[in-house]
Amino acid sequence: MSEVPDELRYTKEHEWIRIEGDNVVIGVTDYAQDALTDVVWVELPEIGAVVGSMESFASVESVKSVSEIYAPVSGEVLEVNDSLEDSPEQINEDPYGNGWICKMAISDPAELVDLLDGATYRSLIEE
Amino acid sequence: MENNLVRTSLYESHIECGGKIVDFHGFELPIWYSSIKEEHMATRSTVGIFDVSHMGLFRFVGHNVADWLSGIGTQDFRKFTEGSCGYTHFLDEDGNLIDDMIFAVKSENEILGVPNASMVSTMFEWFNRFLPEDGSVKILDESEDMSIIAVQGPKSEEAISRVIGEDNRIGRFRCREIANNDLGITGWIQGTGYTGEKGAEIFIPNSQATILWKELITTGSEIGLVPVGLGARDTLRLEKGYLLSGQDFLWPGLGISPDVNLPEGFLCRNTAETHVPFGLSMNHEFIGKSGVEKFLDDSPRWAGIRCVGRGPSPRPGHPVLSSESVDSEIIGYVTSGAPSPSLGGIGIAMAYLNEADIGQSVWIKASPRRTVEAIVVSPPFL
Repeated sequence: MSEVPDELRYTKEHEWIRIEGDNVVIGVTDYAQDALTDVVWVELPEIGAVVGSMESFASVESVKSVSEIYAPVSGEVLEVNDSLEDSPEQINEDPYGNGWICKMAISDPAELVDLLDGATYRSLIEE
Repeated sequence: MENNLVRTSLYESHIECGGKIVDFHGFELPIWYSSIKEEHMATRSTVGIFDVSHMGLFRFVGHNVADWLSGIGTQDFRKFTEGSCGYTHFLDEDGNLIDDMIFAVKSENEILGVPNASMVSTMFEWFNRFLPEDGSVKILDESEDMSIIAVQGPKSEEAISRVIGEDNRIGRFRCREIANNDLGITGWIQGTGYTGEKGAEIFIPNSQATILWKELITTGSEIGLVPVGLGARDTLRLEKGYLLSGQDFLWPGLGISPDVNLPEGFLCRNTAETHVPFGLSMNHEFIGKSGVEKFLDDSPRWAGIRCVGRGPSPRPGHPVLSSESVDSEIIGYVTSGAPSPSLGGIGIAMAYLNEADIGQSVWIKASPRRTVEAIVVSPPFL
């Protein structure tokens, strides 16, 4: 059974979003890491990159395949989790903690309304 | 669509083992059970079992059957004695590789062959085109009647002897009928596989598949045996530089496109270009021989590439470049590539390259955003 913390927001593409004032922290969900299995490489976004909502800006690679990561909202990349370059397995071990991917400044707070809450995401993955 | 998918006799066993089922060329088979990495490492260190029942099984029967097959395949079947196995390619008249095949010489008058899953009907038609008019050779397609379980890894012999007895230990590239055993398993066993490890492939009637699989799982678990899915099967063969039909070569006669983006006709290759050091005997006449001869000295070669550092892994369809810049000259394309579980996740690949030398540096365009440095190597990677 995948963990879906209620305090986070989600996308249908299995990303989680933690809202911290004007910024968001982004990662992939427990369900996603379980489906990917062993993550072997994370291609991080560039710091300072300005991306549009649902634009592909990073990727997570398992032995079998590469999954694109889409920006859940429009904004600018402020920080990336460099430690994933050496220890990509943190995505499997701690998807909501040490496995975070990047922090972004939100350019349009109205877009946050489109994100899913925990209950909605939970029902999505239980389908 | 779903109704057209074929389930092997072991489908329920895969579900019981926790297999994640995918559509693999029309077969419902597990991509993994626990994880590709774990199953890969278990096969390298102890033993893994694989359901490869999707592969075909042909029985070639007749007087002088080895002579006849030698006229069609790149291998000289006459060099193989009773009870031994070998590897061959089959080419069309122009020398293009149609399919590769492991074969086993059962007797002077009978040879068994294992065509690739998606090539069974094509190869059956191909062989039938060349049957002698006097009826002296016959081909039986037993693909649907038989299940195949591969037992691979350093402890494979121990797993086999625990389950079907000491008498069924089999040496590398040897083959024979399964000897009497307490489990009542009958059929054929050969010391072959697709992992580069010690091991065997066991051919049994569909009705016995579940019995053998379950006994291997139960008894084998004491020595670390695990079921292995298609994902690890692919990384295991990649580390040894083995060709995958349809992915590393694709016969134009099929009229289909590869799964990935490659230049038109890129996967139309002959045996010389695949650079596979076994299976080619130029001392006899066979279909497509002149097409191979032209390429023996000077042609693109299927070579290994090993990434220098960590980064995005090479994948099928990635361009290989002569220098670091994303705009530099393309000298080939990756046909198979993945992070190597045995090498700590370093990216490895097989690619057809123009004029590349062993030890040379190349760059793989492994993502739209970057290139990664790699060294041309001679497979196997380990």
